[in-house]
Amino acid sequence: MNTLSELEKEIQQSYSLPEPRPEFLNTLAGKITTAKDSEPYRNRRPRLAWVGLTILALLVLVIALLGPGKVWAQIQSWFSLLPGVGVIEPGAPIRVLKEPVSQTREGITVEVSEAILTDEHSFIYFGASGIPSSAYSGDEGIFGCLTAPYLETEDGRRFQAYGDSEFELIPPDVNAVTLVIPCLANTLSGTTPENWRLPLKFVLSEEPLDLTPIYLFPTETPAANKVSIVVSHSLVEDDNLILAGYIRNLDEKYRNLVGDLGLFDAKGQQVAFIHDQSQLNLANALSNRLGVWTIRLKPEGLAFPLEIRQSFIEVGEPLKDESSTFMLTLPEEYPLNDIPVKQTIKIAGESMELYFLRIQPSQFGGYQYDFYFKEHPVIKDLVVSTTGTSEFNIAKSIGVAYLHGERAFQSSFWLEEGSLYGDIEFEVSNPVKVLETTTLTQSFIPPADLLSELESQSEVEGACISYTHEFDENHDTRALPNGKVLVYQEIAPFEGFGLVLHNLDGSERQVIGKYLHSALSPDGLTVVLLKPDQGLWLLDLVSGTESHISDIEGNDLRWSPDGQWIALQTYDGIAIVKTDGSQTLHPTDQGQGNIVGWSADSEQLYLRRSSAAGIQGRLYVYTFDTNQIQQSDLVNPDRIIGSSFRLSADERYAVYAKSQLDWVFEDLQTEEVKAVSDGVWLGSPLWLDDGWVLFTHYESPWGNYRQPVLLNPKTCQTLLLPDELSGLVLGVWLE
Amino acid sequence: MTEQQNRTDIERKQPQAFSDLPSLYQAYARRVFHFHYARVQNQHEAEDLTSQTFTAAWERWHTLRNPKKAVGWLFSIARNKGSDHFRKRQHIHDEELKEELTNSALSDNLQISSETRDRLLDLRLCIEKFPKAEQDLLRLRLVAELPFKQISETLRQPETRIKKRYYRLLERLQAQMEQE
Repeated sequence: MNTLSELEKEIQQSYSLPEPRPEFLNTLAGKITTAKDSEPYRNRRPRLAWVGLTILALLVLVIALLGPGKVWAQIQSWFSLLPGVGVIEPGAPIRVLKEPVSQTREGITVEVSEAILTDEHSFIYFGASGIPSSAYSGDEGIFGCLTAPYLETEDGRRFQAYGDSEFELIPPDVNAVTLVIPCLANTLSGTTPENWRLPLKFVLSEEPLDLTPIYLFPTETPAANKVSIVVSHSLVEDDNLILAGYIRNLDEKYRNLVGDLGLFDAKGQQVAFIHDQSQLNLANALSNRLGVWTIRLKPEGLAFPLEIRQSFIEVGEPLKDESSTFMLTLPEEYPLNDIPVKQTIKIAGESMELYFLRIQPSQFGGYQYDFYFKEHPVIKDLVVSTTGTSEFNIAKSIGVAYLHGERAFQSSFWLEEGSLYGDIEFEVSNPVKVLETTTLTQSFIPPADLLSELESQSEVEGACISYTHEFDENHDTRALPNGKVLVYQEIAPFEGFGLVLHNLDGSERQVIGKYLHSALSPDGLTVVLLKPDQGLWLLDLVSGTESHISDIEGNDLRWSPDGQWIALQTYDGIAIVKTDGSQTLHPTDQGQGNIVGWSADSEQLYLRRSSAAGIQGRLYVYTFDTNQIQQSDLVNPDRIIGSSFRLSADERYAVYAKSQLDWVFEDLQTEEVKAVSDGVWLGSPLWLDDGWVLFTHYESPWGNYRQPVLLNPKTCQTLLLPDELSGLVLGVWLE
Repeated sequence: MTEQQNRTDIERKQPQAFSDLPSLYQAYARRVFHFHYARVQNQHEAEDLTSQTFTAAWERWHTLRNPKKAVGWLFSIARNKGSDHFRKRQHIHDEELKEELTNSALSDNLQISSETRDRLLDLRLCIEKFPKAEQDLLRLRLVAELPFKQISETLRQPETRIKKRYYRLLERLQAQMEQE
């Protein structure tokens, strides 16, 4: 029975395919069948010497015809990226776990959820759940079990663990092993069952794994000690080209980068790109290199070749004869915030500005003093010390960071005991000056089949916002609705971070206090906040009165749409607290996971529950009426969801991060997925009732907050909230 | 489109492992020819591309490590050859395309009514307006008659993504035809 739809049948008919001519097929068949050498690679045993000589002769011929510079672009090959493993050869056999294995003893479950065995790596993912907190010492100085697990075969061979999940290479002929866990990691002796033995079986993977094709470029023969930019890997993701590489022969003296990597097209135009930190597998592949870079760019319309530029500075030896002193008055009681200084210091004929001081308890017993200097064009490093410090307790930052609105570098020392207060004289010494700036360049032309791959992706629908054109220039705040946003941000320069309630248009601002975990009620009149060691409090925004509702502590606070409940993540799982404090629910059997969202009627709370191994989460729902948790039918029961998965209140849509840099929107009924962001650092989405989502917006994962982004994933309408609202968004209310 | 409907005859054609190129040729030469013909609409060019595809497959046969993936591998070569061919031919304008289609075997088919013929021509024109990658997907599925698993190997994308793309494409096509 043919079950093609009518439309599919019509499409087939529309091609109106003629039969190929028999004489053509026979002639071509003749060519193919007379080809003697048509065995698959692994069965071939050719005369290697002849093959080698032939290849050598061909190479010589190719080099002679093309010139050595072009050979680089002529010889390349496709490999595959396997998530969690890295680069593997195409068609390489991959073995996986025949089936997940678990064992439960005394209420503790150990589960082996996944295994990936290749020619070069053996990964086995396992974890334990149900371990009582009493099994751990609670004292960082007292260690529990440190004995590593291992794999054992029937004939007694052992394979040791390299890390949490990687093991010594398991040969292809070993398809049955026992995972031996002498004791559960970090648990105290005698508190949990020991000597776990879980039999595992491996089989060749039949299903195509989620492999990403990746292009590996052969590297040119390195000229001795020549520093150069190397393009080593490339892959295509939607309409993006990902390029990765490193700096060859990166010497100590060249490790001071000046500015960012630069990218220019054949017309000399600057090409927009981002550093793509989401390419973890590429990072693994390049982990042994220095000066590693991975960038994402849009190749469509670009004139090749591209030129990649990176500048370095060569710096001199520290100038030991140069020094200077300055005085600071330090308070007896140190503030939690950074201390602004703004003092000019003359050294080695240059003026440096000491910008601020950060004092914090040192892990060695005393205090650590971090001096932040504004970035200087000539002096790149120096040492700060005072009486009683030695060269052994000096620390310096590598490179500069953007802090309190300025680019600054840091020089520190720590005291092994005690602290400094009153008028203190400090010495700056050993300045390091720039000698020379070097700019490296590398030309890049995508090879033909990479271009072909790009062409096939060129019509992919773009994301609502992308790193090449994040937002319209015209930020018209009149388009913003009326409402309030609860933001965690720097209260004032050098005053530290806290909660601030803003009008959505930035017109008014109300400082709540130096708290973090919080949420805004659905009517916008109350804030629930966590006071450290004091539990949950409600703050009435109209009267300013506060009331304590629970001693419970946790984070990720979510107010139910009817305003009656607050769900939060605690150390012991998810708790749901009645806003009048009269009731606290602890949904049973929730395991590990996080909150996904409330239903619009506040009758159900969706949550992500992860497996014992803690890696794979699935969507569950807690129903108040029945006090039961069950797997949700909103998505396929086999579907793995990540911790970023956030459900709209109407339970129809979800937004989630595909990678750190890319968010997607999904219609759960049609399974249609749409890219929301491409190469933009967004996080902590909050769904609004009308289908809009408010995202926190970051400069980079370690950088400053930027203006929050209000976005309608269906229409791609995007509003950038005013600059005053830059911060971590914790709540929103619209009129 | 339900999951049940996914299970077409195409899916029941189980993927085979091919230990040599002649066997692969015997099984797939006709489908490779059709795959190319559906794009170029010209017997001579389709033969030329089919020949190029198998010649390249013969040259690279030693690089194939997993015989179970031979079909996906073969069609990825066919797809690249087709792309190269069209790059050389430059851009074909809609009018030229319409002319090509009007002159094609479809127009000569006297066994179908003129009304059906017009509808099928409109359908082809609609398809030709889709991005090349989407057209490839349709041809791999409905002309080369590959199961989704092999299409995923050809296009080097997960099978689930391919399925979604395919059924979304049909929906869009249906909607456009209804507008016509």
